[in-house]
Amino acid sequence: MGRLRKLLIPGVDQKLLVRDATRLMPDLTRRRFIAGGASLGALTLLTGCDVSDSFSAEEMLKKVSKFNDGVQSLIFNPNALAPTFPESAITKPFPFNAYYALENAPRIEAKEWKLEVRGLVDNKKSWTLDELYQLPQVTQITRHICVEGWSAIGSWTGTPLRDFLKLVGADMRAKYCWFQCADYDGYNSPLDMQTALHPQTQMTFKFAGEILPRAYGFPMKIRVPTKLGFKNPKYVVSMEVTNDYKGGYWEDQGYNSFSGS
Amino acid sequence: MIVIGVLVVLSGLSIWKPVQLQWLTALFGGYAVARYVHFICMSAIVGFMIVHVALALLVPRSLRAMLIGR
Repeated sequence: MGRLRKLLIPGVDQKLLVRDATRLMPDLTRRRFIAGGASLGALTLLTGCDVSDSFSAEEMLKKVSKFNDGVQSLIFNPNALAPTFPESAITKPFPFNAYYALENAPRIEAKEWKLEVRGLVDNKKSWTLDELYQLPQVTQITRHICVEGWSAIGSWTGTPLRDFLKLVGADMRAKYCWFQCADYDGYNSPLDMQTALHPQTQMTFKFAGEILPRAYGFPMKIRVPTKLGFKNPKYVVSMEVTNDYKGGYWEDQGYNSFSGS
Repeated sequence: MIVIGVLVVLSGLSIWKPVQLQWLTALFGGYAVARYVHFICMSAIVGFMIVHVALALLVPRSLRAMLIGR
């Protein structure tokens, strides 16, 4: 109180002082404009995308991502081939990339490994590595583009996935090939059928002419040059042909599922 | 600024779909070049925005004019 009393100037009419101060205050219409703007902003937050209820915000984002999938599927030309490169363009060393360090990458014994084939296929037999190695193979040198923002050119050798799908009598009208992998958190990823049937989509057994090293997904990876890197599963253990969208490791965390290039 | 706006969209499309729109990517001189173009254009837009907002804040009358038109 003592300090406040000190601020009072003796001999000054307090009522006049207040009137003068009011005159100096900012324009009231401007105040109303700013206040109105603020509440309008609050209103849009409440109706469109309630931040206090993250569930509805996520649902909306999922719908946008699904719409994005549809657009990319329309743009996708099943006959457009990804550019191929000469051997001199290969990136050396080709990066290892995963959500874990290389030492935690799966160690798979070739003799114990089998590729399980499930879902809408005529022949559900599991395939050993030796049996898969008997299938005709082709080599392609293409660019791997990562969602993180880097890209690298590599040389991959293996069997076109569409040849294998024909061989096992898969229902080509099904919507997805769903891959499950041996990574410690259970990596998995769905691949839309039109991309699975693309001529360059490959079951890869070799990198740069050598048996696929552990870093790049031994014994088998699915190489898809028309997709971002995370849609190229490594250490694959099973393939399911299905009409159901079963989600995937990164897809479930909000990554766009089509992610085509 | 308009040229940069057009370039940033085209280079963005060419690194989004380097297979489906490979003619566009090739027009930029390849995927790597298109990424540089996209990054430089993005930086130019961000730089323009910083200068633009800073100048508006330096002249407070301009903010008042934006809100009440005088």
